[in-house]
Amino acid sequence: MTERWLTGIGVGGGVAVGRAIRMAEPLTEPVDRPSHLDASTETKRAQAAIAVVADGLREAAAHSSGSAQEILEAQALIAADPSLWDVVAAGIAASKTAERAVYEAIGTFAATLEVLGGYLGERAADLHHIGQRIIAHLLKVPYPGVPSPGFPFVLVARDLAPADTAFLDEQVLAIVTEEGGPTAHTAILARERRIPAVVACPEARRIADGDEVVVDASGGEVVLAPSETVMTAARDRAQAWHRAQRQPIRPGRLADGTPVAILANLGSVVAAHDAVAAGAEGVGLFRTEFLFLDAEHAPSIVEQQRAYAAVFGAFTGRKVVVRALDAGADKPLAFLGSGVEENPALGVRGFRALQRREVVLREQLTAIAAAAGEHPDTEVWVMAPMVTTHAETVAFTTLAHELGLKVAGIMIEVPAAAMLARELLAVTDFASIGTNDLTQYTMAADRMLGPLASLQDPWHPAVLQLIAAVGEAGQATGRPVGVCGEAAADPLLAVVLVGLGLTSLSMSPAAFPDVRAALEVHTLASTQAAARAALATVDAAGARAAAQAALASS
Amino acid sequence: MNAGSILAVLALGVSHGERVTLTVADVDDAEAVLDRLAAFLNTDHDAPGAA
Repeated sequence: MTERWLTGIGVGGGVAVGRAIRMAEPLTEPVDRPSHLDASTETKRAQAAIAVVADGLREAAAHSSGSAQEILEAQALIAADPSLWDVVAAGIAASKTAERAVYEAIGTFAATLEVLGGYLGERAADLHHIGQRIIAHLLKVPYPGVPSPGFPFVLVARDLAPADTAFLDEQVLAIVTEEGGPTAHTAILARERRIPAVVACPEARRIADGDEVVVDASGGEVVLAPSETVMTAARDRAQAWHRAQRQPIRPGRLADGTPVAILANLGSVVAAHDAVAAGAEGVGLFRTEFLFLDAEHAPSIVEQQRAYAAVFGAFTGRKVVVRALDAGADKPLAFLGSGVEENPALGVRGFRALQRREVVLREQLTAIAAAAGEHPDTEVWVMAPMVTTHAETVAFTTLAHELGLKVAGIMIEVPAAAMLARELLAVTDFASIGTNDLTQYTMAADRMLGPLASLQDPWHPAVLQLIAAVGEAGQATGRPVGVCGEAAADPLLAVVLVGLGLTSLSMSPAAFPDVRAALEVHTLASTQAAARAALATVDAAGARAAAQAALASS
Repeated sequence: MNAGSILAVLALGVSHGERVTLTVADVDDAEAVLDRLAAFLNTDHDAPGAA
């Protein structure tokens, strides 16, 4: 069998590799034939079956907690629903069997909900599962539940009933369903129980019992008959993910106790919860472009405020650094009307674009300040993207303070800003280094150009020297200086960055466990030795090797 | 339809902001029941702090 990639909607992040076991197919449709029992007997049978199922669901609810409990309680309510019973009773009165009457009544209500679509449409699945339970009881056959093969497995099903997901044990490595959606109960519970899941993957019907599969919840992909390479990579990622789940979440620190804040890079509101679960000590970079990307006009202040407040609410007692809209000819936004530029990377982008549309910036800062007011226990910072000059630094910081934001800083992505970091930090509250752009501008290599990829290396000592200048400026002025590029996600480079004087590292949450572990084994003195060694080299490979050697000998 | 039936209520497909009419059988505490139901419907259950 050749490798095959199936796509669906990933839930909760994480990766798993294992053998697939399919859940039994649903019961066959009860035949529509007149009952040979009298109506009062059929009525009693139906009533008894419904009571048993409703009681069972209520009991299951009593033994669970959180969303599982709420879902099971709602299911019990639906099973015993008076409107459902009216339709069942009408069917029995028309000489149908109890099985058939239940089947048809469930079908009627499910069809109504499916027509309504969306959230209510997804509730139709709940109804079908309840119907199956009642019919299985009437037929005296086992309800097609979660299999238990006796070894860890990937559960593959058309869809799962809440009662099924509520009783999943640690043998279930991952879940793949053909149906369901991101708000359906399977997804909710998988997320809560941190089981990697891919839902709404219709092609999952190709998966047979015993097939080896890779389930990648972060990418929403299932790989059937994966190659050795894919499996090995997935196993490594799965291990890292499990380490992250198991690792007691401690604040980031060095071996000598020096704190290093481990912060999350976020690009949407939903990602906030995964970041919190992964132990983010705050958000070092909250990108706000998602609010604007498809917009003809800038979203209203109220609309923006709601999105910001949702993230602030998830980080009570912690810090969230919001980056003002970062747009330009390379990231065009309809309402900003960015023109076509010969050289977009060197054009009107970042803070330059905001200064030309100051009303957009004012509205955004106003919305952030209002959202911050709703969450006084969250420390809200704002920063301007791609600042080049002292005048820009003053302009942004003053405006943000004026609009009620207490802490305002700049992103250092341009060599000019890095070189004048001390002067800039004298007029702003903090700086955050964007290593991707800083590398592109230092090396004069377009980040999108494949052939220049080797120049796009933040390990290059020229880039490290600029970062060192910013780190020194931070130490000298006492202003916080952090990194919010993916460079912080490289565990070895993270150690060097701390040695260069940075006090916080912001990255995608998937990188937390490795970075935390790398920091914990080195003292501040040894990170500084590694930084010095890396700075004294002539190329990226040399810097990497020198840092490694310095850490090994310290 | 019967508001005591979760299925019938769901099947109405009422969205936020829509107007619904409540009627209660003529019993002693009809007024109190109506008040409680109306208060429930007027609550934003997704608002932070809403029980």
